[in-house]
Amino acid sequence: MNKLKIFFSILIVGLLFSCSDSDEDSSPTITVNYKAVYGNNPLVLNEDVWFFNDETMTFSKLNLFISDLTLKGQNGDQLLSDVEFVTFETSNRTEDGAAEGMSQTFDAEVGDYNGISFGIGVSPVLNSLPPSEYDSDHVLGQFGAYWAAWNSFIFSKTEGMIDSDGDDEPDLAFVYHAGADKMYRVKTVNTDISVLDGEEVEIDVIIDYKRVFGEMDDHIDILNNPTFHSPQDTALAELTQQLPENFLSAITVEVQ
Amino acid sequence: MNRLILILFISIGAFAGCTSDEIDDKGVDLTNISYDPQPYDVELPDYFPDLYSPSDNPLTYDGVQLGRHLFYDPILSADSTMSCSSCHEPGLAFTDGLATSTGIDGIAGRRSSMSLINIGFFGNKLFWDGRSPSLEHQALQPVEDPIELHETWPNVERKLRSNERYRELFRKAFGIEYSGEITKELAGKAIAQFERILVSTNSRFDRERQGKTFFTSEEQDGFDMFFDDSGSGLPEAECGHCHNFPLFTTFEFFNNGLDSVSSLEDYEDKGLGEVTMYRFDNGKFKAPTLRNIELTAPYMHDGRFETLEEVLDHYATGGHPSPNVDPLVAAAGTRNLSEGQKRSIIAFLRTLTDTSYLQNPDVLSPFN
Repeated sequence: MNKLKIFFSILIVGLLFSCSDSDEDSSPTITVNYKAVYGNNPLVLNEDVWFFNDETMTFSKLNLFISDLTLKGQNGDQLLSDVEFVTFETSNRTEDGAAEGMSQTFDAEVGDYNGISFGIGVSPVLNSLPPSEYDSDHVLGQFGAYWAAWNSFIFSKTEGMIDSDGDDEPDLAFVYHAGADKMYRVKTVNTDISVLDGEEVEIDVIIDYKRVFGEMDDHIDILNNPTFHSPQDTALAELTQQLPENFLSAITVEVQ
Repeated sequence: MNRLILILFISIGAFAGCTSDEIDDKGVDLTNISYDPQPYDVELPDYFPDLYSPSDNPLTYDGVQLGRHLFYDPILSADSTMSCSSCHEPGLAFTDGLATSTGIDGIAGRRSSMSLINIGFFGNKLFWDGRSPSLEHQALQPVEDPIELHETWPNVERKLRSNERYRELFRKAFGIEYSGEITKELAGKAIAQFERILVSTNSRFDRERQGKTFFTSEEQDGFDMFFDDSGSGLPEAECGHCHNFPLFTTFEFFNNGLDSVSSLEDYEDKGLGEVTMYRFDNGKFKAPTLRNIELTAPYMHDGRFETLEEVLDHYATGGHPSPNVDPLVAAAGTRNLSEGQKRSIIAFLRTLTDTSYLQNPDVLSPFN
């Protein structure tokens, strides 16, 4: 009788363990960490960073859309997400939070990939529809990210203040909003990414906002053009090229 | 043997007592009243977002009717003198026309009553400071607020459970079987349902949008400046960033330069910052909808501006300086809007007036 009890006990325990094993999700994941930096440092909202000359600036709002996040493979691409809204409003309130950034995790398929690509902004296909065409809980269902005058989502919002005369008082507000299909850019990075069964791959997408505004000898003249939010503004036509190109070069990708 | 009889009596007594308590807790049996929930449809233009309802509180005809009764009934206040509608009058786009609202004890609050028009599209962060995560949650707050209805929910529940009309309304709305199942949570759900039908979609702006009418040239100029149409050759007034189409709000929080402070800690009313405890949120308040703005004076969270002209004058100066004034508000101050241009923007704002919702009997008081 005791032997029978022991046998059934072992059987039940064995079954339980086998159940646990089979239920365990072994599919691999990709975690993308979006990080906003200014030069070499995490970018903390509302804290001074040196701009150019004697000017310091603070950023108060940073967000952007990322579209068609895709792993590139010789045997086929894998779409991780068609669109994501990346906002640093919460994460970048502290230095620790800024260092961590904003993360999103996606299920992935096992394989060896040789690159990653994504659009900076909302892809033309998705941008052809207004927010009312998306569910209200969809990232494109937010009307605050749509500009009816352009018939476009606002691809990125970069806002803040500048202390232009070095007296420690911010005296100039700047607002840079990008949008419309002509400002959409696709970033492709060639790098080996091995996705193994049951493992997580971490990829850092780093946006250097210092480079968004350009280098010392070729930077966007915020002091004279503090507001840019109209891709149809012929007076600022150059910015409709320069700003998205700067975003393109300001974004780097690191596979952990 | 005597001991056995004693135990028997105690047991019977306990059973009887238990049964009696259970009946008291359950209250009146309501199962003889029919429960047949029918969806309540709200017609919206195709350029509007979906009307959000949580899965555990779908819009039903009887839910709306219960919420309507609760909204207009002073039963929710401690002295039965005030209801939700006391501060949210239908004819004033569900505001009260006061700078700051006053509760049953005559104590004035520190903020203005917000319009409830199109409130159903606001998913979360309700109130001027965003402290409420849902309409269902928000609807419960004024009852126990000492400067509003100053009542307690246990007391309101007791009043509702003993009221024959409400027993029937709660049964029809939520299918409860006993009056003891009437709770504040169900009351909040019903009020939230009623608030979701307070929809304005038939302003002159909407009719122009639908090709049924035209703007005057003054209104069109106002529209172009409001939405920064650079092709118009008119100055960009930067209004649409916070008051975007079609709801004329982005649901976000801004410091619109109302107060001049040198330190973020100096705001008398810290607004969003009181909720998030993030100092850069101090002085930020929710951008309200501008639909029916003509009816909702005085303006701002503290009702400091009596007229739309005063509001435009404020924005045309770029607001008062402060460490976290919104860059777009500051930018608006550089546009040098002329008096005529400000009048054009106000003319456009008046195209957002719509009182057609008052034609829907479901939004009006059931007690008149």
